[in-house]
Amino acid sequence: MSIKVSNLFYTYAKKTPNEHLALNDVSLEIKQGDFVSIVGHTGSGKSTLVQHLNGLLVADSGLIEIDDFTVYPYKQRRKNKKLHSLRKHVGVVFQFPEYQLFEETIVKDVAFGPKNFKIKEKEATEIAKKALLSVGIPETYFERSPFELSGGERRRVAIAGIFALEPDIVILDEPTAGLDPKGQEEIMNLLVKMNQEGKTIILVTHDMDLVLRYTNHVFVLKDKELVFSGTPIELFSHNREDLSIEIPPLFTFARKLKNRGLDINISDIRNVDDLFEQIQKEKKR
Amino acid sequence: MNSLTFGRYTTFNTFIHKVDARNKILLLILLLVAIFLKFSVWSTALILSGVLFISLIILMLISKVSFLQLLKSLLGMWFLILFLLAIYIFVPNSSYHMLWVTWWKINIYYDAFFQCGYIILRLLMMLGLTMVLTATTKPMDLTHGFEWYMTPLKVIRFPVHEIAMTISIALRFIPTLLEETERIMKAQASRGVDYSRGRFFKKVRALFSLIIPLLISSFQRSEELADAMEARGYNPKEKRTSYSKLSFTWRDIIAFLIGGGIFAGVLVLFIYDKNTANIDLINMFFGVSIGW
Ligand SMILES: Nc1ncnc2c1ncn2[C@@H]1O[C@H](COP(=O)(O)OP(=O)(O)O)[C@@H](O)[C@H]1O
Ligand SMILES: [Mg+2]
Repeated sequence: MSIKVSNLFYTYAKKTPNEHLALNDVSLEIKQGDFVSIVGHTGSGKSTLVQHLNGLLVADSGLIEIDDFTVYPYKQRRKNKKLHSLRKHVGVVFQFPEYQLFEETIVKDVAFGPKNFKIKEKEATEIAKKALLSVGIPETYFERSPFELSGGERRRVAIAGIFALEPDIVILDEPTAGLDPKGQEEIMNLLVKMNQEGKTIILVTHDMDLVLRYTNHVFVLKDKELVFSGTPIELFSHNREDLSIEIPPLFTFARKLKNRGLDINISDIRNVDDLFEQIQKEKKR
Repeated sequence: MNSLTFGRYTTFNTFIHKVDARNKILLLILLLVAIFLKFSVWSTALILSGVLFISLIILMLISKVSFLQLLKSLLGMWFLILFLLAIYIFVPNSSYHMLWVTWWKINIYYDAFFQCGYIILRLLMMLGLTMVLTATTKPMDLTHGFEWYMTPLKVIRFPVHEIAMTISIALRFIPTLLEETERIMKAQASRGVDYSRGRFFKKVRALFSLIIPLLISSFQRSEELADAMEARGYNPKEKRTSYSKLSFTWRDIIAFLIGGGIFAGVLVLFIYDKNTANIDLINMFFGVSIGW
């Protein structure tokens, strides 16, 4: 499923003294099977943007087209009849999703989503178990209460709750914030796996290492506007102080090596191992 | 969501916003009394209500509280209105004397409709006044105001400060809770919950998916807050100073003169009405008497 967003505007608390423009003329396209990231400062509108993609927020103006679904802006909201089924195809994992758990057991909680989309209890439970295993929650936990888990485990259960919908597009809003490095790595590996299965992944993050390492396209939001769209290498290759982006140390390091005369191909370097390989290859020559 | 925002503090900076909270509380009480004083002559009651109603509209215009929303809140009270109307119509009242129709031996009087309309008008004014207070006064100032009035109760060991602190914390967390509610509703909507449609059982289930996370995070929050307060040495028995000082200015004098003036005027008429019986304003000013 590909996504096309055109000329999106959104204002919070419209017609009140607290009125606040959050998205200003944002247009972008995401292809089927992409692994993209959305970055930008806190308050730049990232969360607002992704909430439009499954119709949780309805724009002031602008269109969102996802395959044959179209989300119309507020004035034509009567045409938005299929939002419910859109949410089956576009799963959004919210920032701090651990606060959405409520059932007595973990399995029941994860099965809650599929059941809302008219999947029978038994089948939903099966899907839930599969989703839980995939996020690394072992079977011995299944009958526990979600409130007995640690924060990181709860986060993974909540993420499984969205995976269990088996969406074609998975959107995650800062899923690794506040997790330990191991937990981060597990979640990222899971996303890579889902991406390889053909799902489109949209990752909202502050972590430029993740952007460089995992994603093939990056969008930068700054002050309510989309200011960059391209590959991570393109983003980091230029001086990006105007975008207030921090270039990953690995990338800076590789570039310095190259500038000093080491013949390496920067656009192939996604992580430390890549760099290591290239340096070795260079040494052998 | 819009109806929830009615009466919530607005960040405008009008004359009324700047009047001291204690003053506004006092004036609210005085004006409520003025609204609910009962006059024996119909025309007098109507004229006074009219005067009060126009004053309320002016007040709402000055303080930028939406009058339209006040009228809309009437729609929300349709059940109450029907209920009141039924009571006024079907409960016999010997003072009624303008017969409209008789249905199955029940006499329906025009008076019943007048009475009902009159009480609704007064309820509406009460609501409007209260909304002006809450929309123009920061919740914190409001609690400080109430605390100030209750200070004498400290003599009888009434925990004035503790109660004020509890109330101000509760008020402080209302917007947070609303935000949290919105967030959880969105998160559950992403999991396919449809809060508006579905059968009764499904709706109850949907409600659970909202209320349980809300309760849990509230408990968690209150525990954290208690810990944080204790860590910073909070002791309810200690004498405390306040960050926001309530203060009287020339605005308060003006507001008090106007509000108090209206109250005094109504009160004088009321006492006169009780003592010398039945003042009829129309008769007094125009020399004619409209007998009902
Ligand atoms: N529910 C809301 N009501 C009012 N303003 C909001 C709300 N949510 C976010 N905002 C404002 O909109 C802007 C964009 O917020 P958000 O999309 O959450 O940014 P990000 O996710 O990039 O940090 C911020 O300035 C924020 O204060
Ligand atoms: Mg955000």
